[in-house]
Amino acid sequence: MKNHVLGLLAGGLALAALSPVCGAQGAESALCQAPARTAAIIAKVPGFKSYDLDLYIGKRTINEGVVIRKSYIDNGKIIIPPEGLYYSSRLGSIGTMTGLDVVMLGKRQPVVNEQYEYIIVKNRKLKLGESLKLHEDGSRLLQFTASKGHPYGNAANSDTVRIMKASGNYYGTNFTVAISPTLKDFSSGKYNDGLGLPEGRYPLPADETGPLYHNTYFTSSTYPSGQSYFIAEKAGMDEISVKEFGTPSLTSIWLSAAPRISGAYAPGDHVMVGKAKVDVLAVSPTEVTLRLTEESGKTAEKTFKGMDDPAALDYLPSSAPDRAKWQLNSSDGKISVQLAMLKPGGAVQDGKVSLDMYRDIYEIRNPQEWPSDTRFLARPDT
Amino acid sequence: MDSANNVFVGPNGYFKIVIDDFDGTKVNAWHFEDAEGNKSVNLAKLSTGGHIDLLANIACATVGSFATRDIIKRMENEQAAAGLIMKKQ
Repeated sequence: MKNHVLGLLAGGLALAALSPVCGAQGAESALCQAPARTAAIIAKVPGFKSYDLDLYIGKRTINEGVVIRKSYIDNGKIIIPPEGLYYSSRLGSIGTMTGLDVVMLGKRQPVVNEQYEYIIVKNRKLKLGESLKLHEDGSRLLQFTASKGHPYGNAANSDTVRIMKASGNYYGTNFTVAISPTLKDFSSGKYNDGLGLPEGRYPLPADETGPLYHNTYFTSSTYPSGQSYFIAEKAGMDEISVKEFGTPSLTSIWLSAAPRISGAYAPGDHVMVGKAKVDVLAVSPTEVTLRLTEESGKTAEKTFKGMDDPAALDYLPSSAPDRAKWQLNSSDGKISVQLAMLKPGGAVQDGKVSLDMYRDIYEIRNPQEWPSDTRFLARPDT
Repeated sequence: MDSANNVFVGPNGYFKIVIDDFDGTKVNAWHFEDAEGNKSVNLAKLSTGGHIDLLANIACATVGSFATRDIIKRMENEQAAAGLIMKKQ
């Protein structure tokens, strides 16, 4: 582990310092740890940048920050352990092909593409407070964070697990489940058609037990959340049995060192992307043909079809194959021409095709040594 | 870091951590600087001297989630320190 993290993207980019910021080789990594409750707080750093992004499918704001955690004094030295100091420019996840930029050390950089893996774990037991590593290096954890006694008003308890990130922050989702013979489990599907009672107001008298209330507590042994899901086998106060958990995890992002070139182009138009040339050969509501001529003279043509298909946007921007369908990339991966499929009104309007074009593209793996300062490790998921 | 090695410069010189007064067991004074030359106050007043843990720029969501952990206690402390407390006449 390096000592400092530069964080970027999919929730921001983080750069973390790799080796201890002084002394104490062998100091324990601060990965996934929170800063002290007595951490000094600087409410606003005037030199840090803030950008409001008006993207094709939503708005986001990026702000920069610096965190120091798990620092201590030992043998006359102030020690910041590996990954104990990091810079972050986190923003809410929104995906690529949306016009997204990240900020790295004050500079905006377009996000060109991203790649994920999917992680599934099965049949694990966690004691309260325990974690299991979702990445070998411990930079992402599934943590049994809380159990609550009597949350529903009967003897049952609930359990919550969360995904811990390298930064020490949790992802937003609380995977809360409960399993008990005293609960009605909606995951069983038994109640998908309702309780079978007519609409109305039902008295709950003390002198008789009706069909409602005295034994009517609805919960779930599963918790789905977008691309993630959690299925519990048992959920006790002190231990949870994980039947299965699945979640995606970022493996790489691609950024451009140059500003994005965006515009609407008619057949016959051409545009230079650095030293490469993009020719717009044909545009119709159903088909677009582009030609990319690289600096070497190498050419590639691609005809895009089906942009008028109502299902074309169903899995954008998260689906990698759906994104690839609307991209024309150079053979060396340095140039990418992308149809602005998510632009309001569509990629083709008034006989012109809207394109977002990138050059000088480079990859940052999650994690990877930061090229311009190898004291730092980049983590494109903070 | 210590009294001799008292400055940590961030990537691209984008920020600095500076130890101003360290007696070997306690950090009496330290501060944070941004690339424009803006300097914080002495942060030892906030971090109690036993560490240099830091949360810089709350608007950053990574920082903000930690900074707001104890917001009620902090407000109570700040109001008490400012004399803004309810009491019998």
